[in-house]
Amino acid sequence: MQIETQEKGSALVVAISGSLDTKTAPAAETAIGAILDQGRNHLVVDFSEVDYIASSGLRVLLSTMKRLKKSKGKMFLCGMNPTVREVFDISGFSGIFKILDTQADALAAG
Amino acid sequence: MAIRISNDLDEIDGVIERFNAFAAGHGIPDAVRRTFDIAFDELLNNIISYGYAEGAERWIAVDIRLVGDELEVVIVDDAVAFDPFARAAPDTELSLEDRAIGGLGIHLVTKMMDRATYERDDDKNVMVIAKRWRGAPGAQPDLQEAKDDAD
Repeated sequence: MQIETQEKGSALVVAISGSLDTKTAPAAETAIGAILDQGRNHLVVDFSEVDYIASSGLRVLLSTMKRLKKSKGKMFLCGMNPTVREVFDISGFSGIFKILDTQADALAAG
Repeated sequence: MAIRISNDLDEIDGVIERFNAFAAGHGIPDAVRRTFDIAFDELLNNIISYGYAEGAERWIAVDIRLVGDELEVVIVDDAVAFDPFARAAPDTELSLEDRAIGGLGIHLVTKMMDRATYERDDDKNVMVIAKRWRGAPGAQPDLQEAKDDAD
């Protein structure tokens, strides 16, 4: 699992690659936590290079969302493969996150 | 393919890697392969994290096989008796603030698999998860099959 960031207007694109599972979730949480610590409050999380996500990965996104709600920030998710999307749908997370098809859509939404 | 691991969380990656190689060799579609990757992460972490007394080295058997059109995985451990699939599904309609995350991993596995069963066999937990892969979107001809048949 790797995370790369890129400034795009007022948004910070957070591109995750690899898998988000029990083994990689702590590193993802640390990396995204550091981004929030810098005061960033408009995130576009790009899943284009994410192979799969397990419940521990969902947990990281949930805690990120909770922190952003407190700071009145916003987060958009994009680029999910069908399996990642299925995990969001089954867990009910599709209803609480803003999910767009492409990064361009996610940037336009913010 | 039979894999035997100890009750060490660091062993889980190796199971997923070996399974992924098996899946690639048999033309298992990514959508099906990913579902099993998730199941290994959820189920093996549960067993290893919660099933054993501290310090005891034990073994978990993971048997991966193609049965008809299904990919089937049997996980056998001698951890404390526990049926993960008997847990109630989490309330996925709750708001962000009210949501308790526990149980979500097992819920994912049961929803994504075609079958997920548990039985206690003497002092062992036996879990079977299965999903149809042949004829699933993206399926490739089974290149490994002829080779396996010749073995």
